[in-house]
Amino acid sequence: MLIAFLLVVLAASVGAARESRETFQEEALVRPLPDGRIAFVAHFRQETSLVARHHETFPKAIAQIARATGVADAELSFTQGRWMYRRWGRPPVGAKPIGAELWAAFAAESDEVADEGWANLTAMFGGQFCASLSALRDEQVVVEPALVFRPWDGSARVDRDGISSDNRRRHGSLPAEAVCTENLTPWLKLLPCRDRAGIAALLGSRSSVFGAEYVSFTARVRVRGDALELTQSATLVVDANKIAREPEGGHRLTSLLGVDRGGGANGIRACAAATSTAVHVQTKGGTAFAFGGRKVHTAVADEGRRVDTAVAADEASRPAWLSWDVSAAEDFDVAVRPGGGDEGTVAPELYAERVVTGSGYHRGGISIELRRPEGSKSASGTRARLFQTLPWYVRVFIHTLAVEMDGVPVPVPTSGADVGANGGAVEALRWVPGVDRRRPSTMELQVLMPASASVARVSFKFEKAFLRISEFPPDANRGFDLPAALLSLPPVSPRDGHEFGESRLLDLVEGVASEVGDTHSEGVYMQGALLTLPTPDFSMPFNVTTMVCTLMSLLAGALLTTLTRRPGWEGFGKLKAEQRKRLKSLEKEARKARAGKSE
Amino acid sequence: MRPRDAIVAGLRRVIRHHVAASTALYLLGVLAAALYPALARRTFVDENAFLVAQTTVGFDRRDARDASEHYRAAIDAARTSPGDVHRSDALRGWLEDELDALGMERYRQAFALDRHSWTRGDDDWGRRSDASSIDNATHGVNVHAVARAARGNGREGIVLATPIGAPGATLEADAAALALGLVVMRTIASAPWLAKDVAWLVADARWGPGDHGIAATDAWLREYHDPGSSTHHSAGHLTQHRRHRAQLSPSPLALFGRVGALQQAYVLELPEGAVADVASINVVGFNGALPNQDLLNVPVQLAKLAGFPRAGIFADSSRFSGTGGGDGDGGVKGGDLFDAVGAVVGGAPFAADLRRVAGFALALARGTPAGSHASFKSYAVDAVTVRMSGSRGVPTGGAHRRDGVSGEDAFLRLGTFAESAVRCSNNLLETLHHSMFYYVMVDDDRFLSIAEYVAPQGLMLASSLVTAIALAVIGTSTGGVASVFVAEKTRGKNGGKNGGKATPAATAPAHDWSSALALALLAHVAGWCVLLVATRTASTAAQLAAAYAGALATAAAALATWSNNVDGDEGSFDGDEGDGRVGARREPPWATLKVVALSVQVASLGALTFFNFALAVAVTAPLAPLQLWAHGGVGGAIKPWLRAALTLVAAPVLLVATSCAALGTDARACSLGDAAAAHVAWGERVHVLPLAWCVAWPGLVLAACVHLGGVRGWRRGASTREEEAPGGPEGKKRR
Repeated sequence: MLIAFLLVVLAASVGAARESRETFQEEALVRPLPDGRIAFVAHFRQETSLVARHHETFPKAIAQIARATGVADAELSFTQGRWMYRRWGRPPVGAKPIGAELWAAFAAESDEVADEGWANLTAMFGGQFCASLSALRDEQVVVEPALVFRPWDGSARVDRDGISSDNRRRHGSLPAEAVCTENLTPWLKLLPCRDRAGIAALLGSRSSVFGAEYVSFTARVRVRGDALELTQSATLVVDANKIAREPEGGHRLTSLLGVDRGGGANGIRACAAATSTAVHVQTKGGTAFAFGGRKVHTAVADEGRRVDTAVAADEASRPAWLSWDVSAAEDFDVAVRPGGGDEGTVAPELYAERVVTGSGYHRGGISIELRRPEGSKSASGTRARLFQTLPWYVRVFIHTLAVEMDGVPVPVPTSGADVGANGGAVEALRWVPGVDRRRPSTMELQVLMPASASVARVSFKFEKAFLRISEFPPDANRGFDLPAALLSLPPVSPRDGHEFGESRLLDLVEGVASEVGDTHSEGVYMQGALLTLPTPDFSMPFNVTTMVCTLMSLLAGALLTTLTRRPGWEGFGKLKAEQRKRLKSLEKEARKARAGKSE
Repeated sequence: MRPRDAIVAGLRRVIRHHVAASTALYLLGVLAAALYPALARRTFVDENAFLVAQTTVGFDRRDARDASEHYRAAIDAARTSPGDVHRSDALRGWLEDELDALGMERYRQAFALDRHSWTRGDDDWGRRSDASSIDNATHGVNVHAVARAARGNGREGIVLATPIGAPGATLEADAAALALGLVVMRTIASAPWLAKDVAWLVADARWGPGDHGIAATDAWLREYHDPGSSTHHSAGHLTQHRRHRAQLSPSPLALFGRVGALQQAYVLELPEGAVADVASINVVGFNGALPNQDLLNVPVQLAKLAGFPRAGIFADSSRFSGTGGGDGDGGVKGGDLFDAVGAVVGGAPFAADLRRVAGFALALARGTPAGSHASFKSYAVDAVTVRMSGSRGVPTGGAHRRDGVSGEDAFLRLGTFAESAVRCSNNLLETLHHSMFYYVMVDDDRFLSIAEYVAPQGLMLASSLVTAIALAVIGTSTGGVASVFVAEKTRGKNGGKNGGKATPAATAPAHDWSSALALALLAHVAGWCVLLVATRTASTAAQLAAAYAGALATAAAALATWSNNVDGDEGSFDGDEGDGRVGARREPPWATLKVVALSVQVASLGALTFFNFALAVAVTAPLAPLQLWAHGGVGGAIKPWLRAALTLVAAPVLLVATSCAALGTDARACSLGDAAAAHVAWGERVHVLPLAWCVAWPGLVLAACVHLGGVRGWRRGASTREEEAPGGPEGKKRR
């Protein structure tokens, strides 16, 4: 009987495990950059069943969070450093803003349900990743984007009811969040092999990771039907100029990332739980050497050096691929020899820069400049979406919103009927004004930048609010960090011959999100900004309190004196004293008289 | 007596004896100013995050050698440039090539020249004159490079600025500045400690007033804080030829790199080239604006740590002490006066301190900066100019001198200083807010904070205030105040005996405020008109004509107003005396006007104290006694009209002569036209001329009008008014 029961339990658990259909894919991408830096991307994808109660490798915490919050899609990112678009070109998998950013979509019936899910999500993610994400719960921070953070459809639809029928989105960011190992460690713990094996082992050196000029790691949770997908991606830019080169003139990946332990077994050992492990090198003018692993794809191969050598060359501006399947490798490493500045970076369609204009403590402005890279051409113009959220204490005067194309003002719609009318450059405008201490302002703008235009400038003015003393953050005299603005561009057209599904990482690099045209837009985050607000002398409340109390006591004392003064009582004390004196003298005389009588 | 009663009685006594009290307060103010050095405190760095002397310096001798090589290369590039290329343009071209070779971001900004910018344009570099190309120029050219912090967030930035091409600068000086900046930027860009982006501005100092590239720095900051603004031409000022060239100037859409919110800026000037013995710090901005005092003390310490034998705000002895022969930076010449004061109070060191204080205050009062740090301060960015020179510290502007450490050794000192300064600002988390923003330097390591230096100004203003209150409350009659006190005493003593009724002698002054205010307004409007004339014509004669026309108009209006009101009511009593109430005594109109004039003076100069203390003191010191002296009494040794004339003519002349003597300039050369031209050249940003015409001159005019109050009485002889209420101190004395 007992044996039969055990067999049933075993069969059930095996069945459940089979039901979960768990997969774990890990990939890495190495891309030399023109100025001697090397970009490294680690990409992990895990999938399981949403309804499964037990998981073999999939992190249980994430599944529980997904079930508890009702989230349909959510992405959390932690970033330190800036991606230098002009120097490094388009990032492999999209750059993120400095600090922490979280956006999520909820398949909720109402905003209340979505808000509840958001509150749970921020609290749970905050606990999971040791971050201050609970601050995103505050209604002063969270916004609902309409045009961005969704698949690009190219339309100018900003009707909120229309877009929220399928899901309700929330967005919040913490531009001043300090990103550190306490965030990375729990992020790595979501992986089956943590940072002990597989691609994640390359992130084992915290000093190298956070010593990188740019480090960003993201976690994206998606629910597709009954499938739950967790995608983790880490992007690092390391300065190869500071790393010793191999005798062949290249840089070993393990050396670049500081996990070179020396000795024989130096390289990557594949994670046993991974269904696939692959390493890609994307270079144009450079060379890559592989140590171990099985080459699966090269544009141009030049066999003959050490284990596996290839020279990439591509007539197009884009770098070529070199890929190795290292699923069975015990000691894999890649040495990359940069092309000496000839890496052929691909610039984004538009550069975006945001500037806080004006000076002083009262008013200011923001100017967002969209600039077409030099030499780039667009046959039909460029359609771009701008997303910017500002804290409530930045009171935007929306009537000052101005859009210029090459210095020439273009009409800005002032009502819903004007939007997109007359073939204007501003195709869509969504403006949610801020409310003091309740809601940040949100501006979403879709502009069509003509092919002939090279610079578009969006500007507006604002007023800085006076804050209460309790509303100032620590180090208030540094200023207030404004969240980064986002420029959303049409998806990158994939390379000819690119086959979807061979590699999820390469799909991302090529701008293909799914097999059904679910193309994600290319996001270009603008730098955060620092806004100086008038700060009080924080010791002044004490001084003021003391002085006011003194003054009040003086006034109250004088008032009481005046109120209690009775003119009729003036000289009362003296009169009493005289009476007392007279009484005493009378008493004395009486005593004497008595004494005289008695005698 | 209770304390309150004692205080009230004391105040009443002060008001009753306001003439003596005002005189005493004014003299106390002068005495307090003379005792400034005794009140000085030692300087200190309040912001610990600077970490001065707690960091290592990366700029080493190899960098100094590189700088020296760059210096020679820059000179060669300028000398071998084509003949039609201005040398500063050649240097900029060379610099851009070098920056490209370093892989550093660099940007070129063409800024439009307004009409004030064309006040310069002479090229005295000596090798060849290409003034024609400058005359035809429509824009200046700034170049700036940016070093990005590898792991920084790009939200905060530091600026290092080196103006080149100044009319008085030599080729060697500009080449040294560029070589230094280039190597320092290379060092900083690769520094692991860099957390904030650094911009290096090479300002085009050929244009604008002053020799420090202020116009160029202004244009750069304008573009920085308002994209696309600095290229907008004032087309009305452009000739056809220039308009054509303006179309050829770079587009306003040119790329302009930024480094986030600017936190601090350091301007390095090397007027003698690669010489490094004296680091002279300059902090005075427009209208006496000063950076946080930490930004003065830190460069002093850094320069000393870098090996400069002399460093400080008074290190260049020619700037404040007047020993350098008056180079235009505000030397004070009144040596005898200071020596006399010093001999009385504390000897020669005291006199030297006093001379430095006066020199520094004079630089504040002038309001014209001597460094492009002033432009940064206008944008609320703390900035300082450090001028490195030879041991004698007197830039000649001509021959290249190498009196002290030069060449590689000098570059080592200069580079060490520049890197240390940037690193100190890099360490800061917040903008500077701990230390003083209001201060007067007594020496390189001693200063007066506002708590100390405001006392003389406060005392002098208090002297005016006491008189104004006395005239407003008790009027011109001492009998009035006496009778008030008598009445109160009587009322207190009698108590309920007579129901608190005052005696008929108890009077309260009644003023005709409206006419006095109208006259004050007229005087100030007239002064403002003079300022308009000054800015439009820049002519001495026109200004004087306008000023005295306005003064005459105000005086005529005053006399006309007062004569219309002459109905023998001055000194009369309003109110019903029969019912025992205190009556109102009608005050002479000049007394009311004096109250208004003194009040305006106290309010305007009191407010100015917090913007430009030195200028406020400089105006208050002569104006207060003149206004206090003004009275409408008919008696005295000097006739009223003569007193008015002395106030309007002799006093300004005497003041100008005294100022010129203190400045060491020829009084005959002090032209109002030149002052107006300078005011326009500085973009009408300096407050001296507006203050002179809109505050000081109306004050004098009103004082003269007060004097004229006695004219009527003088003409009418000993009127009944004199019998009823003698006016003014003289009148009182006469009685």
